[in-house]
Amino acid sequence: MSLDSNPLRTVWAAWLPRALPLLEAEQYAEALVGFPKPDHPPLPFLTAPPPTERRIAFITSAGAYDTATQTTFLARSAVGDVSHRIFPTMLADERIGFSHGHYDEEHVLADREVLLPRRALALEGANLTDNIVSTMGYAIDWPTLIESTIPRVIQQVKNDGANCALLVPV
Amino acid sequence: MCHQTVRLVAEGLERASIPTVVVGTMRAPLKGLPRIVISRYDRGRNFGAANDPTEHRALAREALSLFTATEPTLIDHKERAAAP
Repeated sequence: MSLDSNPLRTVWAAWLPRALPLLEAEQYAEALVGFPKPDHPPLPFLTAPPPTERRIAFITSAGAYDTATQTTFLARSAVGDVSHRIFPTMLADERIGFSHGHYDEEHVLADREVLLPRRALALEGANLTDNIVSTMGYAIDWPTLIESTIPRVIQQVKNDGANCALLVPV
Repeated sequence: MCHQTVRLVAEGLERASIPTVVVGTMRAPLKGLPRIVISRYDRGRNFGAANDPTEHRALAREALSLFTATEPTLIDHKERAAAP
């Protein structure tokens, strides 16, 4: 029995050895020359449910996590981190930490609403699902992201009963 | 990179029949997604400055309004701010 091939991973694995020393030196522009990406076929336009029927999943790449129960993301990894965290939407502010390393976390630590506007959305009538999903957006291993992480995020969103999603990249 | 990885997530959701709205700070990496708000603020504070609930609500309201869009819609506050 042979294992399935993944053309994107094959190209990515060939790209990585030249890029890795540059990533470790934080020379991102030079490192990402030739970074292999998948095609982006046009998306069919979907109509969202009416406001009273919306169940909105909230997803961010802010590197958010529950400081009491979860580990940090690998903020200092040269290839980033493809894992994700799931925590209650209404988790107390002081329980939400951020480990990303590629943006200034000062603002969100001062006020979670600048990236996780839970109160603002609620005041505007949004019906969020019970969990927030967070990734750490700096993730170089796209083959794993596409094959493993994203399907798990989508499954979580479905399990939470969402019929639409609000995404906040950082 | 962060906007690009979120784009992949949004594409996956859309293909799973879950409509998306993205509130980002960079336009180019999100090209092709159906509903986008580009914040006037820097990355890391997409919904505005800390302790500015009025602005947070304004951006939240705008983001939610895109769920009623009937065609691809982009609101680019950075472009508006740069307009003469």
